[in-house]
Amino acid sequence: MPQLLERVNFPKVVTVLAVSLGVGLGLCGLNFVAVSALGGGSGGIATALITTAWLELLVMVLSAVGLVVALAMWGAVKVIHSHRSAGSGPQRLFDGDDEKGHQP
Amino acid sequence: MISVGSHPAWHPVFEALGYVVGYVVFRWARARRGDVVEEPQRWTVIAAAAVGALIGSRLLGLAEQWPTVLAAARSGRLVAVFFASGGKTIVGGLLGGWIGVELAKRFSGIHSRTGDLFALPLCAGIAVGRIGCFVAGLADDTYGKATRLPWGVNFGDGVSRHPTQLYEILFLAVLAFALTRPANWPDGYRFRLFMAGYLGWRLAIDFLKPQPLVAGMNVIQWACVAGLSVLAALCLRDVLMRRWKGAVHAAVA
Repeated sequence: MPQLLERVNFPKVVTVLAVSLGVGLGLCGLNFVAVSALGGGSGGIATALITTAWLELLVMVLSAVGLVVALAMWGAVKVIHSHRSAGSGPQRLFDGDDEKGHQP
Repeated sequence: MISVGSHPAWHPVFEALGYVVGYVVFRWARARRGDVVEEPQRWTVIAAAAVGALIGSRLLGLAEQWPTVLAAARSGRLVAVFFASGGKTIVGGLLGGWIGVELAKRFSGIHSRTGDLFALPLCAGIAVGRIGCFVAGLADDTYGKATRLPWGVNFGDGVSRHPTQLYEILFLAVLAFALTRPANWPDGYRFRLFMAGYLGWRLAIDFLKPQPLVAGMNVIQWACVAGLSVLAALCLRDVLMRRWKGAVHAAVA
């Protein structure tokens, strides 16, 4: 599982989700503004706008949740990766005092 | 007076097109001029910019509508306002994105100045997005105050207004032209020039917009002042560093 997660390009996923959330926020708000400008929820155009607004709300919520999850997973992968690279370094067989003792 | 009406449905189309155009111009600029960082580091920077821009644009967008937000908070509808209102602002996006990139660079150990490649894409993307703002008319808070000038635009309320969105597109074209001039600028200078130009422009043009004011200016203008102050401090620091390094070199020689 960690190997699989390391293959995911988290920066690209996060970018796409952030942009879709940004567009979704703009879409949804403007649709509600348009509905109120049309004088409420009556009429074909207003119904269509409200329907799309609900779809946009769904996109917005999904991308917001996805963004939080992707950021958390990206952070977790970074932490695991840094722990692994710290653990895979050369092991010190002797401590510092012994090394000092061999110095001329 | 030119009548165009208000068509908010087109705003998201041009907003999305703005992102696409910005990305295409970025790819073109990167292929033409090369990059100071590797591909994975560049994507880390882009992701940080996107998240920072999202948060910054939303926060400043809400701050811009402070009377509505204050009223909503008093009546317990703050969450509804956060999701329902379409308020986002470019200045907040730029400042938030900038902060996001600086934080990500610090955490990822990137020391190069990565902003130059964003200057031209931002000009192009914002200009395309502003077409959507113009078409959206009264549904978008970017229209100007009433004017008697012959190019005043009627967005559907019978009032002839400054087409501030079109002014901005013209300004961005001039800024983009200036930024593409070949010059031996240090790394990061082109991005700072873009930021200074755009923030200075918004500080001036927002006097033509009917927005709620705080101590004589709207919230976006105050954010521009803050951004310009940081830019001035960074430039001053660079000048002092250059002088100090020159003095050290002279002393060593």
